[in-house]
Amino acid sequence: MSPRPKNNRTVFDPPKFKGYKPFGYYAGDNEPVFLLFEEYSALKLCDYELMTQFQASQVMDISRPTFTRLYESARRKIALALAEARPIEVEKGRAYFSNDWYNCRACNIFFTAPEMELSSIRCPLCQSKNLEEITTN
Amino acid sequence: MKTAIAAQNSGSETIIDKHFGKCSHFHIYDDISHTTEVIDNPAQGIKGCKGDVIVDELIAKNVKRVIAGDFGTKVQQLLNQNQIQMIIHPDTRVSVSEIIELLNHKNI
Repeated sequence: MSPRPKNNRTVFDPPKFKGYKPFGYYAGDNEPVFLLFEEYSALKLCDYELMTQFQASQVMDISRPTFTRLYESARRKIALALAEARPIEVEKGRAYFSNDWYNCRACNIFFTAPEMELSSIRCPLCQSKNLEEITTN
Repeated sequence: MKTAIAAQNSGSETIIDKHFGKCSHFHIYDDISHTTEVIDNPAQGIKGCKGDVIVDELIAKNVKRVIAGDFGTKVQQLLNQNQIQMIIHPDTRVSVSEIIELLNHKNI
């Protein structure tokens, strides 16, 4: 019997980085650790915004036990990256963004565009149209 | 359009704040009249979620866009419900006057 498909996890804002790299003697060409958007979000909600796991699970629209597994997975991946001096890369997982976010490649800001047509969206600061839409598949 | 910039103090050379809810002042820039109004953060001293107090104040001032280094989850929900555009500026060394210059450039 195949396992039940995973539900989407609601994520509010995208990570402001593509990854992290260690530096120093052992930081060679180690295999990267792939951190999912929703794992980053779980870690941020619990350890940066200091929510309880129950509050964070409600924000992400998943059950509390699922949230705990996600949080555990994020911590293990970060511990693995630190212990083995491996780079971290963020990757799209089952995250669903509550807002449509855009990243301007010219000035590197993130912004939302409420009530705007896709063709008329430009960077609000530099007016560039060189944008990356941050969505999940 | 009015833009609220979360800042660390009231001077125009101040840098933007890393966190929307925890900033000390908001610089509200009107790109039609080219004027800036500085207000204290109405939620200073409130423990816990400050989002609703701030968003109510910004709606009363007809703000349509907000800029900060980061936004909390709850305030993002409120801003999204009220159709206010959010801009995350990851470089929190940028000053309010530099952002106003960029916003002005757009209207030329």
